[in-house]
Amino acid sequence: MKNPKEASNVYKNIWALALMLFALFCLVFLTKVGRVQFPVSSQVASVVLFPFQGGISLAVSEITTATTFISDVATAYEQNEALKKEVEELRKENLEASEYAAENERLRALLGYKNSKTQFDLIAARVIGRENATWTSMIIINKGSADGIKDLMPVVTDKGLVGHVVEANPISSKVQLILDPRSSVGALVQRPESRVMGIVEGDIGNAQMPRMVNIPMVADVVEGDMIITSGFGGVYPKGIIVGEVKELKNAPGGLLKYAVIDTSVDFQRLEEVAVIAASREPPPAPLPKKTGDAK
Amino acid sequence: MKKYGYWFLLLIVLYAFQTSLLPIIAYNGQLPDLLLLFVVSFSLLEGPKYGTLMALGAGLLKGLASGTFFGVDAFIYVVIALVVGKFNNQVFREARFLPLVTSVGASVAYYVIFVVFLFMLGFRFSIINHVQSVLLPMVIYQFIFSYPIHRLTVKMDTLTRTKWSKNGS
Repeated sequence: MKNPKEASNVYKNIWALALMLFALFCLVFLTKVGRVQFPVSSQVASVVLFPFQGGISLAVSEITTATTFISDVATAYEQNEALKKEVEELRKENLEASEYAAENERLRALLGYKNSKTQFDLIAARVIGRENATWTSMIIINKGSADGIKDLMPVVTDKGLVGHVVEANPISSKVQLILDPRSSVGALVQRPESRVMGIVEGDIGNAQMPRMVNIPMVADVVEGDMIITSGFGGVYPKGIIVGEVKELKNAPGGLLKYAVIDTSVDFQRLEEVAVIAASREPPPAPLPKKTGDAK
Repeated sequence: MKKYGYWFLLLIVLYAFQTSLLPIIAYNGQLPDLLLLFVVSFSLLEGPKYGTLMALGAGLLKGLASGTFFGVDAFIYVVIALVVGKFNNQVFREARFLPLVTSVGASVAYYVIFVVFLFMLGFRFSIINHVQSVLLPMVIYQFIFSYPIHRLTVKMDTLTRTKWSKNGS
């Protein structure tokens, strides 16, 4: 038999607990509609975590390098014998390869491959943390607002689109990957005959492959089509590669279909990324020379 | 106060490990949830009252640091701590079986409540595919990591108890 004071304490505890659970429950929905945000607390958490995440990330990187080195040394003798044979063969091929390399370099210069990247001001960053919860896909990078990073800046690698900055803290930033179900990217099919538009969004059911939705049933999209950003929406510049159409499926309702996208970026091996701090329209193609008018 | 500082530091280190080290063993994008395992072990050792407070702290830390919908993790952790804490008096500190089973059960409960939240938030997906791609790897990871995290929590608990009982506070 509990005395009245104990009973009163038990009731107080139950009420406090119920109130806390109710408050948390409401917070979830208020956060979803954007009514509640915790920018300062979130920044404090990021600043506190940064040295731990940065240190562990660096240690992992060093350990990986060390184990690779040890593995290389262990197999060095066998490799050495095999390599001696290869060297002889390669010397013969070297001259020919040099010619191809030089030709390749010229062609690359002609195509303006390098020039195509001058439209972006890029800030290089290292991935120091990753949050793959039950359904979210976020990474943490080691550059923040002190380095010029701002919210909504797109994040890429040389392979293609990674996501965008959702929270720029002073010394680190959170990046929402295109795999996140909350992410939506305006996209289109790169093939000139198609140019079908849609939205690439993360798929809760498939954490590694996003999908391009809102494609009309009769639209000209086939497996193997490359998907690039459309530039609509104001976050991602036009023309960044998202991935390749892996599979086409009918959407519920029967009027639309969606494409499962095999992303060009390998998100499991994401170590370095580049944040697009500013983007300009790509320079126009040079006009063809009018040879007949020249006098 | 210093005692709680130690526990808070452990929370931060576990979260940093979870987000910086464990991604190298991620399967299908899934990772073990060390904070959940820690909350389960702590609740088993300390009971529902302190377990709930630790669960709230761990959930809020995860919510603030991860960028997910704020409050989901705290809500689920608190509910789990409340239930698991009831077994407080039935666990020997060195026991292996109950912490393992409780951790796996708590992970499944975490997943189920999370899925209910997702549906309430308007997300739609195939449950069967999701169970295969998310729940199964998650449960296996939780099973593997549950005992090491339980041992770590027991050691930390012993350390803080010894230190503060000697200090008389």
